[in-house]
Amino acid sequence: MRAAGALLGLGVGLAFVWLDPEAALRPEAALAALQALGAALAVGLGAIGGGSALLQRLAPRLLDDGRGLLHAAVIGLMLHALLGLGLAGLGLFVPLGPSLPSLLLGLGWLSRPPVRAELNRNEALLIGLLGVFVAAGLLPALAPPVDTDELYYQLSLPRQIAETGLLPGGLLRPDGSRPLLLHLPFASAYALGGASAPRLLHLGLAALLLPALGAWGRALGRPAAGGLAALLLVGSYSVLAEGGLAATNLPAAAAVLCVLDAALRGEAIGLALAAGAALGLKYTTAGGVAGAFLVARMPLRQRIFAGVGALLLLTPWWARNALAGLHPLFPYAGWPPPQPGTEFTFVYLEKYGAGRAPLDLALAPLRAVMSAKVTSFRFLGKLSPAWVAAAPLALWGLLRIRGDAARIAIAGAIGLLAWVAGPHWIRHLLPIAPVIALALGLGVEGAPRPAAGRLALGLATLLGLGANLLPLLPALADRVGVVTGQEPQAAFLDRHLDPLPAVRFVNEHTRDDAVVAVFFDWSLFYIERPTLLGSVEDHIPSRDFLLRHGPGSLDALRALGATHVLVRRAGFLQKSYPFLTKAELDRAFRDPEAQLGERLLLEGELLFERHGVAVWKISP
Amino acid sequence: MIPWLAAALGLGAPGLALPLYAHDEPCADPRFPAVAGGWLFSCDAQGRVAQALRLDDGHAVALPVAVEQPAVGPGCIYVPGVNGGLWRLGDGAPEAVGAVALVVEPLAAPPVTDCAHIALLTDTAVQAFAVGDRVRRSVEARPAGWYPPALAWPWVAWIEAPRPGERVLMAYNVESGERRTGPGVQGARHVIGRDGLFAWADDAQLWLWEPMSQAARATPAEAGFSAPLSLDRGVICYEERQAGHLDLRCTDGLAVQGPGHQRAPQRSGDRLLYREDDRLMLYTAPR
Repeated sequence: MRAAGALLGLGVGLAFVWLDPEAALRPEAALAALQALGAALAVGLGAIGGGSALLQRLAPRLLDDGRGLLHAAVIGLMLHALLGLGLAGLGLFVPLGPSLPSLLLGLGWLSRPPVRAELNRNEALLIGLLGVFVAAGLLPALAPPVDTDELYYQLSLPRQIAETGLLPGGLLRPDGSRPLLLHLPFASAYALGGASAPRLLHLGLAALLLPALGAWGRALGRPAAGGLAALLLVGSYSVLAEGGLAATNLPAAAAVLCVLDAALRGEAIGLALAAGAALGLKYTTAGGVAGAFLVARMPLRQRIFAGVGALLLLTPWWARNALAGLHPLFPYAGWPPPQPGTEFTFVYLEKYGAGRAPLDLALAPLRAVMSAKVTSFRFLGKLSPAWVAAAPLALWGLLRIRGDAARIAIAGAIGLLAWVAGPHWIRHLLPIAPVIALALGLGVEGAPRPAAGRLALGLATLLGLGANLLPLLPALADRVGVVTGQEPQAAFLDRHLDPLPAVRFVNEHTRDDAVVAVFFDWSLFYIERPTLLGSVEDHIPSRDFLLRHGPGSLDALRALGATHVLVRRAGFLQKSYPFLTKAELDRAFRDPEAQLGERLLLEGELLFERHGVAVWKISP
Repeated sequence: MIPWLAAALGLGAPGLALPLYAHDEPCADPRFPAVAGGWLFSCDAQGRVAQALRLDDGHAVALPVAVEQPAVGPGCIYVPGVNGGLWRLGDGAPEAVGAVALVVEPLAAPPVTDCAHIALLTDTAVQAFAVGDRVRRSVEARPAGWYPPALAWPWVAWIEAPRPGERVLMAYNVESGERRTGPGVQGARHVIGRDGLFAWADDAQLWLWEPMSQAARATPAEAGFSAPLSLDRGVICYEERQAGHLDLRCTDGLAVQGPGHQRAPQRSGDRLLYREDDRLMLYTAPR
């Protein structure tokens, strides 16, 4: 009967969209969204089927409650990536990569694993927050991508893999040398459903975090703790804004939560699998993973066994780098200096946050909440003030209660310390954020008067909504037109992407066999020609190439097959690098850019320039 | 204006090059700031062409519409679109010229005007029309993109791309409908028209062509690789690629060279606007 009702509703709804004389939601936009949703579901459900079947055999207790779905999804996506890596290694990704991994993993459903979605109807707060999170993510997920990281990395890599079947990497595409744990499933989703499919897959996986937190709270006898943790997350701009993007931070957060859950339930195999997934998603989860291993309820021998297992799961990625002549941990280690005897700084830690003096480091978590900015490197994001409001009462509660809550808090604290030691971006805090949120929720509920803590947390959330929602709402409203099909995609992109005229010129006016080297720009996703390089923020690949090849840079590009150069005027400002002397800034940043400009002037032919983005022909 | 006062207020002095700091705001389209008929058109902080300066007497005018890619002519500016039109510049505020055909389709390159006619490129056609004429003459084309068309009425010329990556010069007589291919074979770029002549560069030479008689003159030069040519009273000015640097040269012998690169020449009588590294400069030829 339910199926009949669903069919009736779907049928009438689709007929309404199709026949609407005002075409508020254009049918082609609705069909594109449905196709993307179908692709995301195919990859996501396939992964859950495979992951849950494996866990059913190796760590069945992890599937006992609502947390099981998150475990299954994380492990399943890792299996999907390993299958994709094998197919790419055999040169078979293009015909088989989009569907075969999902089909194989989907066979796991035949074993009828006991995985289920679990939302307690009494948890209105959690259900409401889940709705808000998904609603806030849907519009960005369905709009054409304009996010810098998506264009450069998170979507351009999957697109490149889906179209060529090749796994990029090395100095020309260093991000491709990371473990591609999410990007291979993204590539499958992209091939099946376009750019929105990987983002819907990401949104679905990130959304699973919230019911998992609820289930964990219930499992520890404090059912409201999960809702409070979810409120901390969803009340924060940095979490909400990331839901509808293709990104790795929230999937890494899901994996870290699974690591800690497996550790506290004494499931060594589950711990190994989840830790392998977490580290494969982001090496920067190491702090949270180490914290989980420290508080794990298992003997040291089992922890060592789990650690070795996790590292074994990473070896295919390390072997891939080693076979390509790179350091296994490239690009994080083994980056060869561009010139003998010089150092090349990979990350300028001083650039982020509010200082690196001991007092600054001690205050970094507080400042990340109270004085972060969405649009500057002062933490580059925004968190709800409820994180701070909850802390004192939660600490009181955590000191009173025993058991897993204290261990969760210790793991969260270790993850937080690791973040303090690294770059102070809020998005780097996200992988450990659900663990900290859960610890705070449990602490508030464990305090003598939980109502006081809930009130503090609720009021602070309410007062923080302005700062956390205002940057988001205009962006959401801006996407309504293009998502419903009322605004053409080209017009939307014209409004958002300065380099688009140059990219369009490349797509329309260069030969099909042109190869475009991209310097100081990140629009790779929209370039419909093979590309080399591309870079964001500190523009490491671009600068490294220019420092490495010096005046012979154009010859080196020609030797690599490049026929054109797309270059953005980067104009590195001293105020962005106040910790560098002028000489250091010139040597590492301005000189390479100027040198490229000089060589292009003397050897290239300018074909197009607008908004400081130029296209040069460099073929002889 | 009193002639001696105007001369005193005018920019530059014979034999000197001076930087024009007040007009040095970077433009979204690097072909601006531009000189046309003694007027310098420069940009606002948003990179839109927003102001004009008469070089002879320093008279400054705020343009009625600021856009990134207008057509500038000798004492006029044309802006396509519903808010656009053609304005003549003079001693007072810019004066709108009525009855200019409305252009709303997306353009493949900036339009051009000689103040009496307008030419523009879409992705599939070249269009030209006289100011005051509501009928646009159109001919099918595959413009190379980015390069504006050129006007030497009744001829309009453009860089055609028969296939991506290929470029030849094409010209069309708006009145007779005749269509001609320019001399030279491949690699044509940066066509500009004035006084019945077209000039452009290809990979080895500069061309000056009179389309009516088909008389053509080629000058060997490595030019036009990064900036358009300039054509003024039959004199072509261009960037010349020397070993290790760029200098400016004009076919009447005027040259600007020195440390750094001299780029993007725009000639107007005895004045030459150009860029030296990132600075906008105005050079006045010695008398």
